[in-house]
Amino acid sequence: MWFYDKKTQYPIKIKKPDPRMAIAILTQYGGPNGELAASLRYLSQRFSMPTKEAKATLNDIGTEELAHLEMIGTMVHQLMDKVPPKELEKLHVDTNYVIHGRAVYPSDSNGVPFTAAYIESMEDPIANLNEDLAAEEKARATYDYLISIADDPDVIDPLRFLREREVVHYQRFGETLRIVRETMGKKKYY
Amino acid sequence: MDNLNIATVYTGNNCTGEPIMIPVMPVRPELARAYVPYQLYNKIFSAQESLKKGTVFPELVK
Ligand SMILES: [Fe+2]
Repeated sequence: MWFYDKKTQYPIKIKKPDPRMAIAILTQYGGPNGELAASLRYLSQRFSMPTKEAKATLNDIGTEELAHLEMIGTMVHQLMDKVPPKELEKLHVDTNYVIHGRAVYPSDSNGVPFTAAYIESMEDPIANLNEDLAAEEKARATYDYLISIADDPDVIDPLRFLREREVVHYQRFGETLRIVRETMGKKKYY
Repeated sequence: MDNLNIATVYTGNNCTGEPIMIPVMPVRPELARAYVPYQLYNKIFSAQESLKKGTVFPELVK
């Protein structure tokens, strides 16, 4: 079960709307390397993990990714909020507007809806953990791309925070992979 | 990092199990396997600095 904390993991207060940046960031909401995919991947894979450490790691990181989903949703909302339709048209984000208005919808930046086909969950924990390492690097790379096109510190700071979390998650999945392998192999260490 | 450095890994759910001592990298690494060294815990950032950086661990800032 979960407890909800009525705040974002990192504070988000964007003063200047930027609808194009909103659509760019949207891919981390419902895109292939986004936070929803990450969360569902880890929270589904945890059931077949063979050790307590691996279950706990996937559970904790899967939970944190939900908090990141909330951060990304908040950013998309603040960047789009109250921008007049004519302005959206000028900025070429009107196709998004005529489908969803200024709502936050789980799709990538091109409007492709979220799909569970982005993720895998297998009984084999080694296969899962290798996927998870790759997923963290792909999310990290996406944040690098987003940071490279952003110019507002109110946007860059939370993106930097999220990018660093992917680095930390990579380290934890790497450690988990070793714990799982060493436990399964029952070699001389642990 | 010296491969023979010994890391302490806190086991169990929420690290409530036995701590084990283990080399940061396998003594005999195998082919066709991916390895990440175990982290050695040293200094940590202040709470304020950690929030800014996204981690409490200086060695994980990349
Ligand atoms: Fe992550």
